[in-house]
Amino acid sequence: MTTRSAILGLALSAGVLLFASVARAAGPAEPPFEVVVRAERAPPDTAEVKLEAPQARRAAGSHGDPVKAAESLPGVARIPLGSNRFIVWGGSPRDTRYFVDGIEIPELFHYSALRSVLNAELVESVTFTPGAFGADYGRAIGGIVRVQTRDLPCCELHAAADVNTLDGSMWASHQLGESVRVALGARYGWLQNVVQALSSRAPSELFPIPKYFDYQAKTELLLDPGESLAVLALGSGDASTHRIHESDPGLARELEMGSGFGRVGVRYRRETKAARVDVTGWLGHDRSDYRAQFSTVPAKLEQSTWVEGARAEYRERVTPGVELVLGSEVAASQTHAHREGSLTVPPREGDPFAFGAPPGADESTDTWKTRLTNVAPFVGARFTLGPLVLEPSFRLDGYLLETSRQTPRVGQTPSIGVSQLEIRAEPRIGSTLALSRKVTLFAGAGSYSQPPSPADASAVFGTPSLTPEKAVHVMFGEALELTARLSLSLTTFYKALEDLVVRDPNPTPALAHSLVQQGSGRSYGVEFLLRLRPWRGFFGWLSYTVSRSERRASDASGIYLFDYDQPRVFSAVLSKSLGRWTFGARLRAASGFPRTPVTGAFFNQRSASYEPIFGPHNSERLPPFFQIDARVEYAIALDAERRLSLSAEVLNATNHENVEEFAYSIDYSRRAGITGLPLLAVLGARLEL
Amino acid sequence: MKRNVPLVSVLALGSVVVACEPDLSVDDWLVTRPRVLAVQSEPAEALPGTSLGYRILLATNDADPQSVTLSFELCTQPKSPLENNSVPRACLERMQAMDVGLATTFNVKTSANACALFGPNVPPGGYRPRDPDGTGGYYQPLRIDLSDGTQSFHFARLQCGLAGADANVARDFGQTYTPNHNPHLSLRATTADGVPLQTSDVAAGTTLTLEASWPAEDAETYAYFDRAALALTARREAMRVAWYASAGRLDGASGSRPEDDTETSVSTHWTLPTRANKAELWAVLRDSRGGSEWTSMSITLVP
Repeated sequence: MTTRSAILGLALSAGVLLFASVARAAGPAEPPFEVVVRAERAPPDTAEVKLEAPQARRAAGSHGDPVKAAESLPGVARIPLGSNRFIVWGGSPRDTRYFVDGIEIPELFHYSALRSVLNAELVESVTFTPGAFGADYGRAIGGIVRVQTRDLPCCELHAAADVNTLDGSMWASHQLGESVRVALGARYGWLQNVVQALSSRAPSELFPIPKYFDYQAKTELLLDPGESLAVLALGSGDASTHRIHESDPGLARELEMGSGFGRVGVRYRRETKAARVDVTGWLGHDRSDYRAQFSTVPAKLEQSTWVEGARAEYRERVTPGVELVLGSEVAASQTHAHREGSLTVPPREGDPFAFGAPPGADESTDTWKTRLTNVAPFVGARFTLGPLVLEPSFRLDGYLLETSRQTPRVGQTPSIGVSQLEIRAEPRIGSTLALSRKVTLFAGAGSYSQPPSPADASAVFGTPSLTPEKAVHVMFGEALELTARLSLSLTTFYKALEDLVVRDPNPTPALAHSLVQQGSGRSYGVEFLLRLRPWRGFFGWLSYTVSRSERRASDASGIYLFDYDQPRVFSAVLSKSLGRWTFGARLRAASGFPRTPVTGAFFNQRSASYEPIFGPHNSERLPPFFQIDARVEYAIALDAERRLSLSAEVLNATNHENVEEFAYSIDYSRRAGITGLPLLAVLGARLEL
Repeated sequence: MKRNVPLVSVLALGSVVVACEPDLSVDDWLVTRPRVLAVQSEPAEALPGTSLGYRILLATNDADPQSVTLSFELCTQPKSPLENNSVPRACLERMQAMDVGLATTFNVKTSANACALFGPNVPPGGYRPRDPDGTGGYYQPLRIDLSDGTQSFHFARLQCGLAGADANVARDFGQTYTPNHNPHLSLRATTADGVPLQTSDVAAGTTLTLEASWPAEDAETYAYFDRAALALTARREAMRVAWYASAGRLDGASGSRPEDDTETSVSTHWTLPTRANKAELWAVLRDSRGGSEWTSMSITLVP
């Protein structure tokens, strides 16, 4: 089945390519000197926000990283310390997908979102779509973040080195011969070493401080005008350890996390006045390790995944008012997973938990493999009818889900796998209505799906026969051009989620069905974005999101607040260039995440430890988050080609004690907050030539 | 134009302060109110439906021994995978608790279907067997309530079969597995110069070295079904001692010997208080299969 699906997908891709090549052959010959102006994809994806790297990297709190500036956009909940994923429109962190030039990557940030995994020199723009996106993207019930890389510069050596408190990075590009441009970049994070040098305690005994690295390479082959071929290689690695030493080894607590990915992709693009074809293919490897030791109870989850994928997209303006889109995506992944420990570790969304509490004593182990093949042809059109633009699209997602065992191992019985084909028809539509030159109404809606996590497919710890989770997005709003540089948008959104994977509430679940798809949820809210485009050295935006996100484990159970619900998120980002100086400031304020209170404890005589008694699920919150960051940069032109920039950035300038988690005494009689990063000065220098 | 420029930049470190964990330390070893410090069931492991003799270590310190009463209740509700704790929430509720007053010994019969409720036996129809603990054991919880509202749970180890093993392995397991036995515990106190304590009258403020030891054979070797290798292996019990005191200061409130550690003792230091008239110390030994034993000593403080 897998082979057939792959062949089908490849055939679709080949079809698009063939169509494109025929169109190319049939089209009028392009004069070699024609200048192709690459237009942005215009609305109706009006909830979409695009950040251009030159401005975004000047934003305070970004440490010069344009991708990191996206964390302050509307609809994005504050990323908690220790996490590295966007939380968009009340969705789960795993609901959002990230693409770099069409290549899907598993994570966009290093741990704690200290940095993105991309060198700033590589990034041209960041486009964030929180939901209701078109049929050209899928496998996500949350949002989409697309990073476009820069065209490499002509023709001499260009290089940059950046050294700061967090990390050091370098970037170099050069043209080889007439038609090949290459670039290489790398970064290594050393904050842990910095902390170690300045603290009397080992970094691992404090809050987990990540070690990270990333690397990038890009090669561009210069073809005819309007035609490009690029090879992109990306990679990233993260590790963090949190260890609480005890004189009694039976009480030691340790948590290690590691993840990383590598990608190699090829992208071909050809543009003419009326048509564009994009073809991207990639392959790579992802890994993820979780190891915990709570006294004598171990927990381990290791995943190793090979991924490959391709997407082909052809756009053509058929008439002045009609544009057609035809494309296909194929993605496949093979995951080898191993897990040991309790059913409840690592915790799932919806699990009541107390930070540091040991898991139940039950232990098991399983090793399994999953294979996912997704073939998704899509088609769309864009009709411009005067002030009205309609963009209907349709995506047919075919998922072939295979797992190596449908039941746990018993003795040496051979494994019998599970194979299921799931088809999801996903209609989507977007539209805009320009009421005047300054007022535009927009709306969008669509059906979305995403495959289950390979980690949930264990016959021992999960359910091998899980099917895709589903969502319906609806959004509408209004965009106002207040002035030539100042715009205001207001977006109302609603998301309904179905078939969410949750734990089986039955005391005795069916065999190989510890997880069930009885979960549902909804999130809704309103977001505001006041945006100042570059004007007299100023650039910035102000965003405010009011939302609510709820979940339900089954139809029979009650509604509870989603673990990542943040009803209010406010961000203000402003930067100003003044000669050689650039000043920037960022203010972020957000509601605290919900937590389940501990109302008591009992003593476990076997482990000689206390276990918490929980109150109503997610019935209280962490204290609100507040942070002001400031940045100043001074650029010195050393000579005609060399430039040195000195920067100073103060994170959490008011040293506000932001509680990231509640911690309890061992008997749960006392509680206090674990605070996040207090005032942190990031000083650095950057040399460009 | 190609130029060679040294990649020299300035790294200036500002004040780096990292996230801090609050101090939530609690002297849990200090017994200041009546507490159930340990529970022992005899035998330490038995078939479902067996009547077990329970013995409770109730430390009352200076409180009136009659100020608290005990009750117990056998948990008969299995735990949902939703719950992270060792016992289901339902078993925290007082339903049919048996009041025993001041009695610290009583008998309770484990449920005849305990291996179905808490073990690998599942009803017909394809249900998921429960997972054992790290030693391969299954347990039925028994809640012990103090009249001041504090709760603790003892876990009676059950002799159940294996889940996930073929018939040959299950047969071998049944033939080789030895049920757990409660260990024995000896306590030895010495003064700073290494002289064994001969009397219970000790000068206030004295630091005593305490050593808890057990016979080597009490760290029992038992057959264990390795679910990853799908084979039987021999494992040895880990041992752990928890120290409790009514006053003074303990340097370490617990000590343990992992499976691969063949030492048969752990020690700590107890600095006696300077202001009290007497001080009590309790040592509780637990093996990793749920067995336990304890001992105590009472010190009269002299100026």
